[in-house]
Amino acid sequence: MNELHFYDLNIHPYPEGSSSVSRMALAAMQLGLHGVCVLPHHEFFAGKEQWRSDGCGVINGVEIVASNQNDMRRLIDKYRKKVAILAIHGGDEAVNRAACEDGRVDILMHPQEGGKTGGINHIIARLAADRNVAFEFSLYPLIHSRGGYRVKTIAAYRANFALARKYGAPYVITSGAVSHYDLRDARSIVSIARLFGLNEAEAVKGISHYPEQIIHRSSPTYIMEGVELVETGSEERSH
Amino acid sequence: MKILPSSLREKKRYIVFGLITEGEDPVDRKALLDEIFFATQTLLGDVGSSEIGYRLMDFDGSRGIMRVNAGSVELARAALATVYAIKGTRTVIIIHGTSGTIRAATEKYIVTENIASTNILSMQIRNGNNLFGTAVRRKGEEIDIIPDDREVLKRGNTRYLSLTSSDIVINR
Repeated sequence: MNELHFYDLNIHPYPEGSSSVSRMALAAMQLGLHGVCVLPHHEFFAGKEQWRSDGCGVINGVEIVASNQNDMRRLIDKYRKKVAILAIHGGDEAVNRAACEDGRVDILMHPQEGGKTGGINHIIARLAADRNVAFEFSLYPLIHSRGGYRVKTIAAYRANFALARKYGAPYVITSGAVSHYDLRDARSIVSIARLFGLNEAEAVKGISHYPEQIIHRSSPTYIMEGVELVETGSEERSH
Repeated sequence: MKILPSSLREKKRYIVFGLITEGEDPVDRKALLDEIFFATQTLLGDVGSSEIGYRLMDFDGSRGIMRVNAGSVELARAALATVYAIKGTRTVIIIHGTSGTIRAATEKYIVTENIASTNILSMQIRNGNNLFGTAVRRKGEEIDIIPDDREVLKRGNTRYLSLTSSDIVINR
């Protein structure tokens, strides 16, 4: 069996957070992660930067904060070509749904935020499974808050994950780190994820299989789901 | 009272952990335990805490060995991962590994090398045109600075801005 690689697809380094990209990559490497995705909210997006990375891969991404669907589509048009991973800052019900309807979106972040429910229902979950939009489960609120807010978040995660499981929607588990003190190693992530209803295999999938799938989509040989440029002469790879 | 025969005692596991902290001083044993108990209490409650059965076997200020019940290693790992600060100072508990005996745990996971951090006060740092600050300490490649722009610290909820040596240009 191949060795598993673990990824953390949501970190917010300097200038948004208080650790630089290289410091976060260094800490992630020490924790045994294979790659991290720099995912600043779009007001902090610095452009198409190439990160120097040794040991831990750094992927370029952006998290779009949109007030409504039209705004979201406009911003997707603007950023899609510039980044490898495009995420939507969820929370608003209309935005959650619009994000899952748009095949260009990779990840829907924290759909539960702000609302009383998990922010997704059976319709949105089915759309997400169809368009391959991943739901994000961030550890940040679980690590940093205590009491009421965390109770609500865990309840929402449990409900959202049950939907993701039922409809086969992809999902990723991330740290949502704003400093290198927020990063966690793979085993800790799995342990926490098990508290909201994932089993071990599902939790591992959320930090290795699905992130790899998302990263793979940004490779230049990828055309669409199931269609890929294969070098002539090389064996055809099964997907 | 006679102690239980070893076959009837609960099975234990020893967790080797280290701390990464932004504070200068070694962490106080009691402060660490308070924080761990509080984190476990809020995450898992009294029942969960009793199942884990923490006992700190040894602790030197930055790393230690914690004994837990064998069936609860996963719960303990989750609880330890939710510790984000000790006495208001940002700290992470990193678990290096678990073992069935103290000896195996020590031999396998306790690393002796320890790069000392040096305090370098009032050295001006800059990166391009946007980042200015004063370096406060350095440990290997890692450098912590106090930036002129304090907003970023509020967002990151830390005391320093953390960089590596590849990020900076030192103003001489």
